[in-house]
Amino acid sequence: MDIELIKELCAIQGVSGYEERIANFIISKISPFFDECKRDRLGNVIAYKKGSSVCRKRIMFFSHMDECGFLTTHIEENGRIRFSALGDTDVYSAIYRKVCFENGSEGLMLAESTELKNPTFNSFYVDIGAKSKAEAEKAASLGETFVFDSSFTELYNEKISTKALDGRASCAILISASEKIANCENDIYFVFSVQKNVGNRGIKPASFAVSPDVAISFDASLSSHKDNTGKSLAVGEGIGIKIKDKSVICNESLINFIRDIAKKENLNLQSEASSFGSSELAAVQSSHSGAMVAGITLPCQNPNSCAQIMSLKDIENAQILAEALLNSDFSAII
Amino acid sequence: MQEKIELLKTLSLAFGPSGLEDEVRSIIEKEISPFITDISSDALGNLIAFLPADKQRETAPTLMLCAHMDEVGLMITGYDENGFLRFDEIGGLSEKIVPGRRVTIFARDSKKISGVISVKPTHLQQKDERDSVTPLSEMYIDVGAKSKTEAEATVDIGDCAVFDSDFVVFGENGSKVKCKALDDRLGCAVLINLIKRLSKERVLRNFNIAFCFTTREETGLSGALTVAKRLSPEYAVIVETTAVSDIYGTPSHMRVAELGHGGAISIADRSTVYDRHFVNFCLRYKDELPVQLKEYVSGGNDASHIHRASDGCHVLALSAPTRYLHSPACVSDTRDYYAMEELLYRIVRDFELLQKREV
Repeated sequence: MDIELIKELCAIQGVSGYEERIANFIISKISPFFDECKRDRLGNVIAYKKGSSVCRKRIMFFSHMDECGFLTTHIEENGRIRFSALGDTDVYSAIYRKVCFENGSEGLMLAESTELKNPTFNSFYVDIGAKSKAEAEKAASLGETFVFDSSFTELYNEKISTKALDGRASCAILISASEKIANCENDIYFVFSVQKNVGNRGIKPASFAVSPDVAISFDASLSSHKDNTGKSLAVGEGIGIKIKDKSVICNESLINFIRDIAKKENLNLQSEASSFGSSELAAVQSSHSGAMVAGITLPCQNPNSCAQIMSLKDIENAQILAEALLNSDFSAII
Repeated sequence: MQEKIELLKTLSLAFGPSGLEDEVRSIIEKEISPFITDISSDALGNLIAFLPADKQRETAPTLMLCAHMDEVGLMITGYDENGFLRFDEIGGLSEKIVPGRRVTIFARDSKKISGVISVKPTHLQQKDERDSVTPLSEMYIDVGAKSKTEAEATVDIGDCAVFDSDFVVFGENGSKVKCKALDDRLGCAVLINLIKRLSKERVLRNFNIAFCFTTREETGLSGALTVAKRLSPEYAVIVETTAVSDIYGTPSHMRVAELGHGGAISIADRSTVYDRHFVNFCLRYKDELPVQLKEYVSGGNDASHIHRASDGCHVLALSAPTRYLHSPACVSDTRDYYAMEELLYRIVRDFELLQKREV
């Protein structure tokens, strides 16, 4: 895995609903390897490569490309910029942070008071140093999105940290895997979805359009350092395989199929069976006449902040698994 | 103008809680049938008036214009021994505004039964009762019955009620209106006015326009979901009302929008991020007519299902800023009502330009 690719992907701004830049970047990377690569009406990137087999199946790999961020909704007379969160950014992670707007403007996220109990973003604002509404409007118009400024950090034990890793690490896996797509037997679809972080909205129309037989998601999974119950996955201890979450129960035979492949590749899997969280898989599973679904997950600490932590080792292993899956014969389970 | 106000009045006073939109649907059908020929309804009661493209209607793109016919209301769920009726909400009602309200129950044989939502007199309430909010499950409707038997004789379980309300024009130059159900009869009225206006023109179009009057918005948007799945529109405009708080005491960043400043276009609400290009496209008319952006992320509407039905759709929400939504006295501004029609007219007129997605 090229760490520079992850770095580059995470740096591109693409808040839920506003993924144009990240989509264009992904398209520029993958389109040489596919027969067709387009964006649908909601902006999902859908790439298609025809398979070589006569009795080929439709296999969909997907990952979300949006990130949590903020939307400018109001500018006060005194120049304060008010906003709403798109996605579940932890309000406690927000104060005093530097933010970057799409147009390159920068500002600081401040709160009306630092002594509020149960604060919400209603009491936060962005200060760009403007003295008036007119001055602030030059930097940020209504509808302009912004994200936390976050540098890329390499930590001990091959851990990495930055914003937007939750989706972009998986995007990096699929982008890298697309180079191995040349001789697949099945029809392969890669979908980079929009609006995951605001409630798994984008994948629904994309999976309706693709109508896959098998769909495998690549996404982050919450790894809680506060959790000593052993219920959440540990960063750096192996790729996660989703059994269930609150919204979906994955297909058993597909899970076993993936487990067998991982075993052949000598990859360690952590099983994820949680009673919380939702994923895009639920919408995919029930679109059209139904699809077999499974999820490959990357353990991620602090996913609702700009201090997300993942393991490079996990990402690399997931890429090996993705490439093995691309060239697998799914006929045994379909 | 007077005709448009009369239409808004007729629609707003009509009975139509979610699932029981028949009266509203007949009014709309009667209004539009002289102007548009292809009118149909479906299993959920949605009314669809279809203005086809001049050729190749099967393959032509479809612009869906959508307003919901239903309103919030109450459903009778039981009786107590003394003849008081238990009820549940249809759609979202605030417990704080319900006690003491007059309601009309639409009972069997088209009988309209008057009732009052019963409330213990303030001077008999304990301090903690006065300070807290009584849940709907502990409230009753008083229809004047002396016993359970008497109540059962007139009202059935499952009968529905809406708030009693007058339609009142008030404010500076009569610019404000107040009534129940402006959410979303105002949207229905805008679409009806637009149908009438477009029918006077003979313009060749290479796209279909589907005017959709949907059901069950207040109880989970199921009407719009089925329509959008069937029509698979490329573009959709949800013509709505949106709850604003442009009143004393609300900080400027939480006022949402201002009455009288034009239809409010949503950038995002709690269930949809709207099509950025479509939003910006509408702002190009801001020198010609009043139009504003909704300056707060709140609420949700039929767009939630429409934008991700089938293979997805470019959506826009255009709403009349409205105070006291879901109450017997919603307040809207007639200038916004007219301005919304003007904006929709331009969207239809310039739809080919919108589709190019360049401007």
